[in-house]
Amino acid sequence: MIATLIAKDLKLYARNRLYSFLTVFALLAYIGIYFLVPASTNEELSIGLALEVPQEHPLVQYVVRFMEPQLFTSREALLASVEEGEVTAGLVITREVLARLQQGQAVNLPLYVTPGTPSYLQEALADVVAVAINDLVSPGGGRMRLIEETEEVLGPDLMGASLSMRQRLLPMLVMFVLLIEAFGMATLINQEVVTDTVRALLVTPLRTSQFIAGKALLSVGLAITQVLILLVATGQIVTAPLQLLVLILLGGLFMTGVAFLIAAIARDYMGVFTWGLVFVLPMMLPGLTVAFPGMASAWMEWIPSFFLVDGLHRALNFQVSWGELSGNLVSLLGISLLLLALGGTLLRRRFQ
Amino acid sequence: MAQPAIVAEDLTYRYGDLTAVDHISFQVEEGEIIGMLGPNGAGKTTTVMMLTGQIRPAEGRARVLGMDIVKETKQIQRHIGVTFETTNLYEQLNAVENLQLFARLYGVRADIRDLLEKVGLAGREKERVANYSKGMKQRLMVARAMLHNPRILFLDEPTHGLDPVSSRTIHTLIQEAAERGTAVFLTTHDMMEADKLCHRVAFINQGKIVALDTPAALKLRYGKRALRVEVEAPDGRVTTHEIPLDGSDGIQELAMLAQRGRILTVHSEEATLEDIFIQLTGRGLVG
Amino acid sequence: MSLQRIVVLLGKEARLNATNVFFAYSIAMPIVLSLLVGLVFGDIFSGMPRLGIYAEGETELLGLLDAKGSLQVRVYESPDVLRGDVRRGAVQVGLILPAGFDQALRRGEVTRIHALRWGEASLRDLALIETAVADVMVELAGIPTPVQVEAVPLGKVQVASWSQRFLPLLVIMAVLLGGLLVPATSLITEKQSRTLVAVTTTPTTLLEVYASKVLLGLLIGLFTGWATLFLNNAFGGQAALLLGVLGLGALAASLLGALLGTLSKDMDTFIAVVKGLGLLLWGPGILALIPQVPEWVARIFPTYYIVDPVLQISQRGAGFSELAGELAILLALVGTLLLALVHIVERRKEKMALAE
Repeated sequence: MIATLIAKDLKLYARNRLYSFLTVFALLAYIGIYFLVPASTNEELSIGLALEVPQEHPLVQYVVRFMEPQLFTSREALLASVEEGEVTAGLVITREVLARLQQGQAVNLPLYVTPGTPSYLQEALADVVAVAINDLVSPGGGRMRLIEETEEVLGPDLMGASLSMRQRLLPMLVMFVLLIEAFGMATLINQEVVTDTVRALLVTPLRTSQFIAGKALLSVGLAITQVLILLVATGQIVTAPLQLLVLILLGGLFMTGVAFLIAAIARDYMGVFTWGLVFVLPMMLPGLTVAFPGMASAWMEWIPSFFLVDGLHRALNFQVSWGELSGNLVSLLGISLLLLALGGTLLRRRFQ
Repeated sequence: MAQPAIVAEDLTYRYGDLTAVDHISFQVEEGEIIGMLGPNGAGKTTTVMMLTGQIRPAEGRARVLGMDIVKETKQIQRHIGVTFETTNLYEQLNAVENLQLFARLYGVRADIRDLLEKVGLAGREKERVANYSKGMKQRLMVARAMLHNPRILFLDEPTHGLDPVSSRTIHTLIQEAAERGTAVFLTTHDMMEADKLCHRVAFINQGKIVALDTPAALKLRYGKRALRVEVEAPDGRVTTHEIPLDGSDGIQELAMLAQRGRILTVHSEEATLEDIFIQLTGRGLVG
Repeated sequence: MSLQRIVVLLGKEARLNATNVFFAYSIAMPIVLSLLVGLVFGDIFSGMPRLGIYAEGETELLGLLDAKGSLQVRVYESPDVLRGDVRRGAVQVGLILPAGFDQALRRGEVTRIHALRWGEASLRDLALIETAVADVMVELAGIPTPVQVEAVPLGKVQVASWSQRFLPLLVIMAVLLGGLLVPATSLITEKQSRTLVAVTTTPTTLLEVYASKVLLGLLIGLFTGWATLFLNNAFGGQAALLLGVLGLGALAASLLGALLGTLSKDMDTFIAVVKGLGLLLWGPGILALIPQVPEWVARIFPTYYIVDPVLQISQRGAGFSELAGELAILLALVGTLLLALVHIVERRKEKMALAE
């Protein structure tokens, strides 16, 4: 009976052109977005230096040793390289500049930056150069001598190999696929209520529990399939296949619980839309904080979807062990079962 | 003797403070068509919902095919077919797909083509139900209810708002089912339909059954029979007279009228079920 | 045509469509997409390095760092909260400054500070934070800085950012979805529920019904177009001209919606048609994402004449005279759609009269 129901729902899904179109479109869009964003992080701030003075000059040697610039033979070559974006910024040291620096006189140095450089980065680059040169030429010695710094690293140390935007984006995209699927499932269930077909089904030997189980299986199946397509298309499934499969399965259960809740509360199509936004938007926040950690905040770790996104992030990007992932898995399983039980009970009450 | 198809005793249902069905008791035999007649909100659909296991009665009990409607709902639902007062088909599927789905849920192999032929949908079976007219949808709902040869058919307003052709098709199907021994529980507020189809009718008003019997017996008990006679006097004036047939000597009165002038027409008059309903409840069947 | 009746019908349309999912979709979609593009490609989250500071005493360092445009600085009330935020990457570096930090710095004493580093922070951001902090420390310590460096961006033309490249597509989606969906879907719904016949048996004419639907589509398209430009900081200075051009674009979309709504048998057919027309509609927006494609290719698409004038005015400050050619084509487009719609409405009127 459950198989019959699932076959019927799949047929209805395929016949609903809007939904099937949106599902395929969204999946393609996610894959497209993944490949559009940069695959690597630009860890370097390359600075070019054109010297109109002898390289052997001690001050010049200090600058070269400190900033490790790319050297250019002429101002023109440097400017061309900056304009092309081959180096982030470029500095020209003329005889006059050198002379003034030696005499300890104030100097205004132009730092040429690549077109399109954001203003904050322009200012930051100017700071980098100013601090470096002032440190060298300052008679009292730079701030280096004033500060003793102890450093503590929190979280996995990726110094020099930080995650790319793509890697950060993927857990969020998986979350989006799951939550959009929750929307679709809630609509499908709601449609059965609004069109009263659920009554026709439940006066047959079909039990309410079988009806709900059919929806849950379909929902988890659709969610898993879509996420798998996304992970296979992006090539990331290979990073931790087993852990990802378990996480996706739990994610599917979690999302089904959310869908049941929305469907049980919403009276009609607009209700699904409104309640969907109420449930789905906050659930998206933890995903956003993985992609954009600047948004992260302690309270967001209380949003149920955090355990899923965080688990996906760690499995995809840090190759964590099962032990390290167990906290996420247990919490996610607990929350998913709770949501399923609550959503299922409310739905059952709605049908009776 | 075979057990009754339905036995209801003191069946009651409440929506909050409103008692929708108020301690009703009745019995339906196999092969019998019983019509529940009443205006909107009288409690007809609520009764169907209780008997088909969609809602639980607040008080009283009922047995359908000898099984308890609360404890053995799913066993009962294997043997009943239901149509609803509103259309609830999968509109994106075609007629065959709709029927196949329910055949699988009942676990039967039905001759869907034959059934569609009977309800007059042959030739349109591959079209999406969304494109069907109201009558076609209603006929498909009846076909869905009869798919598994149920022992009882619950038909909630099956011909409401339909064209005469669709109504006639559905009436034929109901009569054929009853002839095969299926008990039919029909709700309607169309007294002509009830009169024509039902072996017995129950008048339900404000949740209570106010009368339950065969249409003929009801008319006999509550209706008044009369003759309407048109007489032309010698001066050419035409007058109309009503001669009651119950408790009076009608033949003598007719003879007296014949002496007064020329009898132009004689019509017998009989009370309709609606007249009786109004007489019993003080309200009409519509509204 | 009675203006009063059109206004009455417009009110009815607005009330009825408020619960139409396409109405919500057409308004929400461009706004959500604008936010998403902003999020993913930059304007909202610029990638500026993030520094958190917990100071045990008073320090001027906070004010000086805050004044810098190269860092996002957050001040913390407790070292534990700072630690938590560094751990989750809300700030990439956390500094715990001891009491009397400023005074020690000014006296030239060696000062000990504790730095917390988020393990996932990029080298680039760490370097930027470090130099920005160093710069203000030098200033605070009163160490002379003879060298001042000023950034000079090269090149006359700014390279288009991803958010800029997405803007044409967003504008097309906003104006088209807003203008097209609501008239089309409401016409289909009316056709299916046969309410159109009920309205036209009153003194209201079919043309007035259509006018009210087109007007609603125009207003929604105008709003969504405006909201998209506003959210993308692309509103420019010439509000009247921009509103006029956006209005023309929304009118074209709305007329197209009414046409499609009239010609589509049901919702499924309509969606299939929109999908089929998709490339024709979104073409200029998709092409703008690929700078290698020459501009003339985009000119083949009718929607180019909606989006290009809008962007010319809002982003490049173009005036009416520069856009006269494109606006003439847009006007011709609107005229053609209007004529086609009136023709079809007249034919429908005849059909309805015959049916009666």
